Amino acid sequence: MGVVDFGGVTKEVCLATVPDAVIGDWVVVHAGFAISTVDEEAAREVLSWVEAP
Amino acid sequence: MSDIVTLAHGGGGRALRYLLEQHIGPAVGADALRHDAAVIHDAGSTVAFTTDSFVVHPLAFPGGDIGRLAVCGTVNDLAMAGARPVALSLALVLEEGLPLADLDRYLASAAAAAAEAGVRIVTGDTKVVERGRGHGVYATTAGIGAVAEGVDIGPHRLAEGDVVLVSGDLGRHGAAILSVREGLGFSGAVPSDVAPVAAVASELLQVADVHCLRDPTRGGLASVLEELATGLDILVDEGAVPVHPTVRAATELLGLDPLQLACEGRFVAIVPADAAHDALALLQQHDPAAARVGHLEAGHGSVWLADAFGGTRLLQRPWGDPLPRIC
Amino acid sequence: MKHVDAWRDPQRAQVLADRIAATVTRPWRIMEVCGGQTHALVRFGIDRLLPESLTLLHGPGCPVCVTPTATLDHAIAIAERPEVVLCTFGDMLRVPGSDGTLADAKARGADVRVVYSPLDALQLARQLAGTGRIVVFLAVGFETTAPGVALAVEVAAAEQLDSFAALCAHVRVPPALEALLADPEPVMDGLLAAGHVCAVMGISEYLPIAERHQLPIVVTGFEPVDLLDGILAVVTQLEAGRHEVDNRYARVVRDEGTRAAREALQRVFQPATRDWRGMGPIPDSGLVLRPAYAAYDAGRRFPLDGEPSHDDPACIAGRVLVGRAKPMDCAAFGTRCTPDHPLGATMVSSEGACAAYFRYRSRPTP
Repeated sequence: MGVVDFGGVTKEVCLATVPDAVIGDWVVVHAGFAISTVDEEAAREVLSWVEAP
Repeated sequence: MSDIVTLAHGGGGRALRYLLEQHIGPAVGADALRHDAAVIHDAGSTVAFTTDSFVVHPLAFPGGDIGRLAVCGTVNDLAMAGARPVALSLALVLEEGLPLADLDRYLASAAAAAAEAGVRIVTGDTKVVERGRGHGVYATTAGIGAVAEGVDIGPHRLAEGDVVLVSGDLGRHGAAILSVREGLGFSGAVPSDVAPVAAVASELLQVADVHCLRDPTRGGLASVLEELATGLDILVDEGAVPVHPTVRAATELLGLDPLQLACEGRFVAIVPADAAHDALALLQQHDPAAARVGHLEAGHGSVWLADAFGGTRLLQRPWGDPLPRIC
Repeated sequence: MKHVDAWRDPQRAQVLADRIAATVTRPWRIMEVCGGQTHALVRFGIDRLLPESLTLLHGPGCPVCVTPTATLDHAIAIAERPEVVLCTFGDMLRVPGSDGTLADAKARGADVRVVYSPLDALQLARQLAGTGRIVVFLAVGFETTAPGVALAVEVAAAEQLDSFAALCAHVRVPPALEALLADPEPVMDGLLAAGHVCAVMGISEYLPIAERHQLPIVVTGFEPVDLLDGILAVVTQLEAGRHEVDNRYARVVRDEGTRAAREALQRVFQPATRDWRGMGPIPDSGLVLRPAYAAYDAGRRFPLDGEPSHDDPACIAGRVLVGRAKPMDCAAFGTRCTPDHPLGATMVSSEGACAAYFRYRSRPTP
């Protein structure tokens, strides 16, 4: 179990499914379990591709 | 003597006398114990009268407890009628086994809230039920207030073009209760906003023409607006509704709508368009988060939320309580 | 997510909408199979941003909606046992069974509790261990939810908790897609694959589907920018005559998925035939507990007997769930059937298409 910050509120979440996650990583949480980590680089890439004119 | 509430305390005999004289009287004032009914001299000729029951669970939550809630809830209802709160009654149903220390705490909160609101607790009642039949404390407060000459606010005054204001950010009480619910528990949420709003409401009445006041308790802003939208449509600008970031985070986490969460220290003011500027300025003096969130238009009695994408969707009150008992 | 505002940015959305309009030359039908996407598409009015020739279809993506009435009836029957505490996700509480809902059962005295996570049910089971009471967790959900249930069951087994069991009604997306695509007159030209299901399972199961059915499949997220990005990727393939699997939700979805989650599923569950509302029994489409975990299988401990289940005859949820009807096609939509008094699951579930269209309908222009 770990503590996940949801933008100001924190909650205990099971991290057993993301054993490589470290403090500071962003995770997707579903029903009390982390189901994936978020790749910031990939996020930035999509956003830059969709810049408003 | 025992340190918990026992059935004997509810029996009307010496044990009850002990409870009244050693616990309830010292908290709310000995006057409240004196007569079967209180006689009030300063209520004026037009009296506002209201009652509410409080079954909140847990009894204490971040920012308050059932004592504070019971006083503020009724004080605020009086304020929503345009009244100056004058006096409250406090009826308690206590569960056998409730620690007296907890009772003292809730009574102290009630007394402090009454002092803050400038209102007296003048009478009440105390009963005890068997363990398992009461969930700690159930409280009922009734209140009377004085409505000044010329004050006439209510849904009958709503008109096309009126502006909807809120006195501060929304959903704090609902979020605070959620944060201490077993299983849902999370940390970091702002505390409940439970507080008396009568003083601000009264100032507002003096500064601007007000058509209607409502406090968004159970069911939140959505409930209040849905109730008021009879014969007219209310349009709300989603982006303009103030919600504290941690309340928003909590609702995203749990899949709830902050516009359906309770507030216990906020109110909605509906004012004619030409009074909106002054009214909002006054509200913002007390709470910078106060905001203009919408307006009334001709329509069929629905509440529409306009989002950043140029779309509108129906804003509805929740079917039931998505939460455990919150007020 | 700190960037969530960026993914909801109306200007970025418009950029994508313009690119879609510039790409489309023919009518196309695109289906999604994720209740969260259904909800988001309707809520953000994405269809309003798209050219008329593009049709968005909602498929069987809401796990609550596809759960057949028989499962609800089974859960209600189990909940009515005095020794049982039935724990469920909130959505299931008001779904109509043959004779009332779990909420009705609760009002009549059944111990039914709403939980956020199977871990809450597990915790309650620990508190009730040895008391003779048993916590039964109603396990609905796709491959996103199933790993959590798998882990909870493993922990219960490791702790030898006699007070925990799960009524498993989990479903898998790929077999349902195959069933939809087996129709000689397929309803869709392209598919948005569910972002969070794929976060767990990866994309490998979708490669043979794309190939066999010449269907472009794009893994897509849930925010307006993600959805439009996914739709653009689908129409780009359709216009070019391609049919590949494209991951447009790479910030969350790795092609191989989340290994630890998939392994948990493998250890605890095995595929089985499952009945889907609107589609009947589909082989291998359900997940059931492996024999090693039989003691934790509420379906085995409390077998269902009794009357066959039935639905309200006016309810067209089955056709809505396969994209053959829109909620507004239903005679009861918005009148006899509303979220306050639903006739079927698609109107009561927060991810159901009928509920989405009811809640998010636009204000009629005066």
